[in-house]
Amino acid sequence: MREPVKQRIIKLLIGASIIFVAVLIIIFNLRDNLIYFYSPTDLVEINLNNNQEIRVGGLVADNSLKYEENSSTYRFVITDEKNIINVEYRGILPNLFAENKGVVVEGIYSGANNIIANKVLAKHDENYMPPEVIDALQKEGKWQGE
Amino acid sequence: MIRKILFYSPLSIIVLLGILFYYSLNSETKSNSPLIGKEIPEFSIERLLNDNDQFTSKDLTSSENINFINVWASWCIPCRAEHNVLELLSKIDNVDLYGINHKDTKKNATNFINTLGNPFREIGFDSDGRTSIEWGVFGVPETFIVHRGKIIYKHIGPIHISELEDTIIPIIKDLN
Amino acid sequence: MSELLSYLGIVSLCVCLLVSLAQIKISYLKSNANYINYFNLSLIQFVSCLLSFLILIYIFITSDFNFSLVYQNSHTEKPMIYKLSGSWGNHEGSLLMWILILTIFNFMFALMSKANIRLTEITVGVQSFLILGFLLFLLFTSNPFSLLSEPPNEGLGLNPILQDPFLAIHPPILYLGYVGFSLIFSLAIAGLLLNHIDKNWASIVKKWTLSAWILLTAGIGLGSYWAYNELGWGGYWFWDPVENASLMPWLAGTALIHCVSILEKRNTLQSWTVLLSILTFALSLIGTFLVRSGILNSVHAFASDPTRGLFILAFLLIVLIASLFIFARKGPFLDKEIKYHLLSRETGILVNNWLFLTILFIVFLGTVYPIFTDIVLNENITVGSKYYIFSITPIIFLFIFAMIITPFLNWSTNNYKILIQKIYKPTLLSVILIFSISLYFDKLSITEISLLILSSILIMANLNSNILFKNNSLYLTSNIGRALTHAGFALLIISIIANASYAKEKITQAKVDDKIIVGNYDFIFSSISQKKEKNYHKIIANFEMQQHSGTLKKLSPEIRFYNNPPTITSETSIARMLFKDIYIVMNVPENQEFINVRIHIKPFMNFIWVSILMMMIGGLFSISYRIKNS
Repeated sequence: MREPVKQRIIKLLIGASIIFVAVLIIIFNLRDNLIYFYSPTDLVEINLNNNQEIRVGGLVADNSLKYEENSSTYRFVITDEKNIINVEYRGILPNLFAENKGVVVEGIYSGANNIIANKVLAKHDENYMPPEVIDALQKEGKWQGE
Repeated sequence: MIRKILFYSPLSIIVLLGILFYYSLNSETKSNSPLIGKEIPEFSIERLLNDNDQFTSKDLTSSENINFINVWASWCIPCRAEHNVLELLSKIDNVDLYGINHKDTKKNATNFINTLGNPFREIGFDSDGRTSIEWGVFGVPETFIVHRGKIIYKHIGPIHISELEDTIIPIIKDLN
Repeated sequence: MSELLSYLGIVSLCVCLLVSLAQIKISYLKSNANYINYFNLSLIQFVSCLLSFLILIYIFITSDFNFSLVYQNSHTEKPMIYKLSGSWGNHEGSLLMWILILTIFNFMFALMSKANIRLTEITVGVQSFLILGFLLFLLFTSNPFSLLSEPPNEGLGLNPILQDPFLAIHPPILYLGYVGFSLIFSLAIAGLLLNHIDKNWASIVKKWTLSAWILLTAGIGLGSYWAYNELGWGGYWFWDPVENASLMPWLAGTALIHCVSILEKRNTLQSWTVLLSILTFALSLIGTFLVRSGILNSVHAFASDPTRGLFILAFLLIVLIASLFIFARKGPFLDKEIKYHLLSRETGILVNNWLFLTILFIVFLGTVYPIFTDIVLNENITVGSKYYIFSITPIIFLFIFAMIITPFLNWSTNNYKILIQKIYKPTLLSVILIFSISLYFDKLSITEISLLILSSILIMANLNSNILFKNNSLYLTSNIGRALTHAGFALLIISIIANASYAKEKITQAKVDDKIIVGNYDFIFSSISQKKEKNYHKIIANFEMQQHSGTLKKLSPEIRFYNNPPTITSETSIARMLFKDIYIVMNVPENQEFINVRIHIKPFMNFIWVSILMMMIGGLFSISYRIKNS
């Protein structure tokens, strides 16, 4: 009767330690690969390190979209009506991308309200704003009693 | 004994997760609008049916009546569905119903009104949706109850007749 | 007429509801009095749902805008096939389809079950409980047959983005997979209640499990194929919460198949099997409904439709809590402990289960963590795909390793001598092969090389021992199903690595007559043209792909301008060759004389699709070979 019990305890201990290590590794991996969302105003208020991968959302500022043919680069401005961020993007803009519409970009923050985007996302339904953008815009609204 | 605990663990995990989710989502749904209790946003937009005039926040703050602001669009189906309810609302004493037409074309919006009838005292034409953003609008339809320049209540989605009876009428009674 | 149809549609569903109640009652009573009852009732359930669904299809095909659903989702100018698929391409319609498929599986099981009457009855009873719950949900919150008081002349549903053949067929097949696992769930609960989880139960469950698994694999594959063709990123998997929601039941379902197999052969792992049966279906429910409620993408979307969302959540919780409670009570008495050696096949499968659970945990954590931080910490975060790749890759190592070894292990005893004998040749060959390849294509990392070697061993070992030549004829062993599926998986890993390591892309602007060089190919932008079609006009950029001054392929990405509703879409142009795909997308920046274009060279894409097919075919072999033997 002793053999099975001893074997069982050993199995349990080995199993538990493997699980513990695996979970630790997984959680560290998770924390290392989180991409935070900021509004343009958030970026002004918070001091981010350069070269961090982040997401930024807001409205595409009126008349801000430009295409530089020599570098195949789009440049545009994202605004939350209080602050702006300049976006540089090489790639194909999604179909629902338009000035005065909501947009979220993902890319590398390169300091002083500049971001080099590697992804531009416009929501699948052109009539709804990405909720993060709404939140961000609301925070800066005039109705906050300022 | 250990076996029993082991076998009850999936159940416990689900119950815990369920409680967490339910609780968080409930509080999320209720406090979805940080606007409640705050002053209405200042705005001034074109009137849909009369170009020369503006629909402004002053129209709302200068009245002692209970103001309903319904954000709608011709392309929005639930807006059609709640139209009867809006007609009923507009007939209540001391209640003024205003509309904000959201991201629409004048032609379609006017057609909509002509076909279904106009329950609104005034309609603002918010073609780019900027004003709606100020009000914290996610989508259409949404209806705000405003009294003395403050936002009392926000209703997301179309108003069903039962919601009119159960929720909205009591609010009106309270305010009177 | 519309009113009549609406009435008929709802009444049919009510009939189904009442009959489902009757089914539940029958299964509750212990008498074996009339065993025809459950079969007849299941037929009525199926027919009444079918009638309702056919009415739904009819109102869409005839564009009956009296119905609110048709008004929102259809249009007279839609091509007929998309009118048809529009019927299930919305919340209410897809819910009705879900219920229909529940009744189909219910009926098929009642018809074909080889189980004893009691087990069949209770399974049908549990299944009917599910049908009942969904019907209540549909009738109270998502009525597909609601009528508009003033019927408009035209519908709103002409969004061209939704008019795509794969997007039309992907939901039904995915649902067949999800709902297939509902039957396994019902069988598991029935087995638990009867204390009947054993070899016999396993042999009944096996072919249903395999069928559901094959369908789910197909559904996920189709979704991925659509994303590749339509989304314009050139990718086929994005670790997006919606995709993950379909992957999770697949992971649980695959682990389940292995457990069922063990249960049948060795009469062990009972509690694993039952738990996985419950888990797979629970994940299917989550996969369908929480995705639809928008909660996986944003909590706010959920909050803006609280009735439906909370109802779904409540139903999900009821099903889970009830089944897990039964499991907690009956579970401790399920397992028959048998002894086996550390290096035996049983251990292999046990390890396999744990690995699957680990991947499931990884994907689950990544999917749910943003919801958690949003609700609790009020932070908005996205989980990058690197998390998934870095966490899962080591597990894949262990997986492939186990997949190579386990089939050669004996039950209960160890026989590592035979094991070594069987795999030393594939190992040697693979090491040589991959090393030589990696010298020529020099971009591979150690991780990738090792994975390639392991995958190669897996393919060779499997095919070698299961496809045999005897007396000048081809002979397939009875394990050919497993061999094909595992080899397919290995091929998938190889293709993914090759695709990731050797993909090339170039982003640039181009004027007519420009030449763009990507890799070994020249792309000549030969012309730009415009063309008017029935409901859109398009700008076409014509490219000629050349190598050594011979034109290999022509590619023509387009931008389409639709009138109704005013929409712009860009169409990718894909040239498929044996070992690679060429993929072009473009923008037309306004007021420019040139276009902005992205050209991808994507190796091994075809092999990715082939490997998924291989896995499915392996599953089919596993079903049919079983039937032969039994």
